Amino acid sequence: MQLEASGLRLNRGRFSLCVDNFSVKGGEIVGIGGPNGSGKSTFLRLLCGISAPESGVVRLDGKDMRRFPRIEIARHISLMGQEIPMPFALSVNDILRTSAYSNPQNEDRVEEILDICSISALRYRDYNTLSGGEKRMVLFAASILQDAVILLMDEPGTYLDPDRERIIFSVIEELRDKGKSIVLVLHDISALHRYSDKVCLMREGKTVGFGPKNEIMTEENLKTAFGLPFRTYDSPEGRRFTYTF
Amino acid sequence: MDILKSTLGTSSQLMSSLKWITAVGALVLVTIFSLFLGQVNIPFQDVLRIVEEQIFPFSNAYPRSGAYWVIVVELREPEILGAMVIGSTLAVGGAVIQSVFRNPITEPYIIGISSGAALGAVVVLDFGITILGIYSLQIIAFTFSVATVMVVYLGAFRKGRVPLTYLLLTGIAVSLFISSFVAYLIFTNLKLQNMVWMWLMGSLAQITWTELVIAFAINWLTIFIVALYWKELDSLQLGEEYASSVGINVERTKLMLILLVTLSTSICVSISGLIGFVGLVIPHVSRIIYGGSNRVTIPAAMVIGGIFLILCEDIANIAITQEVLPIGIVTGVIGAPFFLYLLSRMAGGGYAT
Repeated sequence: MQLEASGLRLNRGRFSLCVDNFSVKGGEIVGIGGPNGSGKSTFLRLLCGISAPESGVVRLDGKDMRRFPRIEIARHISLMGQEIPMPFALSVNDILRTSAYSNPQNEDRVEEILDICSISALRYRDYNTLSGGEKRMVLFAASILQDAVILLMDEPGTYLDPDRERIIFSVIEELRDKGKSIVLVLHDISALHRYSDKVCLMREGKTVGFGPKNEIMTEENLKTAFGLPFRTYDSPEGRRFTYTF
Repeated sequence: MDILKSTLGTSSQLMSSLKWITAVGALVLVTIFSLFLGQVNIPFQDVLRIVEEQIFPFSNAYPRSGAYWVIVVELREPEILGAMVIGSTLAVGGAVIQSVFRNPITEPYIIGISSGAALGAVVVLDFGITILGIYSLQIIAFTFSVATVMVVYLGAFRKGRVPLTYLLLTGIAVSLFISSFVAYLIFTNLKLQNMVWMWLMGSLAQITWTELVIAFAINWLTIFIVALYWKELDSLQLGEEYASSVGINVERTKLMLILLVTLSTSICVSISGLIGFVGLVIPHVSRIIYGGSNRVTIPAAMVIGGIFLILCEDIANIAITQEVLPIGIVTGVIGAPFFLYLLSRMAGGGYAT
């Protein structure tokens, strides 16, 4: 299933977002990178229809997404957002059940998904008592449980220890290999290159480049996006990035 | 290991069943027990006979007249049943509004219900309006209450959405504005003050069977519908963006829930005046005992709200002789310390710190 965006424009006070073309198809991980405030998260919200653009269109399988009811979109697209503050005591189990809203049968898979994410022990814990990393794992598990074909994830690896980071990225790669379409916002340049098939670099609401990662993540483009002099060199473990202040 | 797991599973299910049985049992017991309480000491046997005559009409178990009959059937029963349905409605309304606003210090009154109803009531009392018959006050208070919520809701509209912060602040601003008029009317009509005072503190003493039938029919139905929205409410607790991403039509759900809460709470307020505390605190008590998912919070609030208000009504009736206290005084005096005690029992966790 393909998700495409063309001619997206959004103005929010002094910030304006402008993405002329973007797409992700089945079996592909697209990474979005860029400095803070470059519009990465805003762009994700447009992609799943939570925000509406002032002009332009997002197409789901060729059809204008505005024509789908909210629940239908949720059956196709999931969004793992950034941190969620919780005013009341919901257990991890309660939170996972909410992500099965668009497809209640998925409630039966709570145990399985928690196991895949290695957080079975947290199932009946109160979400508010978890650490930052554990909370990220719960939101990751909730987003997997939703079982959409297109998964959008905003900084899934933040706050995670190396072992948990390994778990989530191996789950993400496995889902990609099963034919899911995945869009990741990643802050870390090396992770962006390592896990993405395609990369979209952004700066001040505009795309610096979008395409296969090796074509896009060049020293020149990175300088444009981040304003820092990056050095890249290829090693047996993949491309490495360093920068100097 | 499996055996251990399954045993633990069943024992926690057993615990949860026990909690529900205790709560519902307590509600039934409190309801029955309250029939025997009041300023007038009615013999145990007489109360039993009166109830028997009501359950099996014209079985001649008790003569359908006389002081005891009137006190039990026309005064105590409407009061107790009124306390039950109003306590349940306010508590469930509180649970819903707190989840929708994701805010533990909100309650149904905050969106304009109480100030609107107060204005309606004061206008009726001040100008002696009787145009709508004996229920003029109730009908006008209800209408003013619903109308105020509509003004607040429409006033908070921004680009096809009703952002929660705007709704909350518009509610507070409109309520303060209307309260000034209420204060002015009371200030300029000293004769009114006693009556209005009773109404503002809440009172169940005047409830009639007609009002009860309407309140039970509509409010139990709205509570039932609201309870079906537990998944939406749980998701809304995690934020509108999250709720939207899992497939909820947030604006439509919010409107529907606010309508249901406004309808049922306005009915309560119009027949009993402003009973505070229940809508704010009983949802928290329910969450602390039963858990934060609305799957359990809403039924728990319904039962605990009922028990709490019946007990408060009992205390209001017998606390001082020859006088019935406004119930709003009792809810605060009894409820606040109990709530503080529950909060202190929650060592860490529970609420975001």
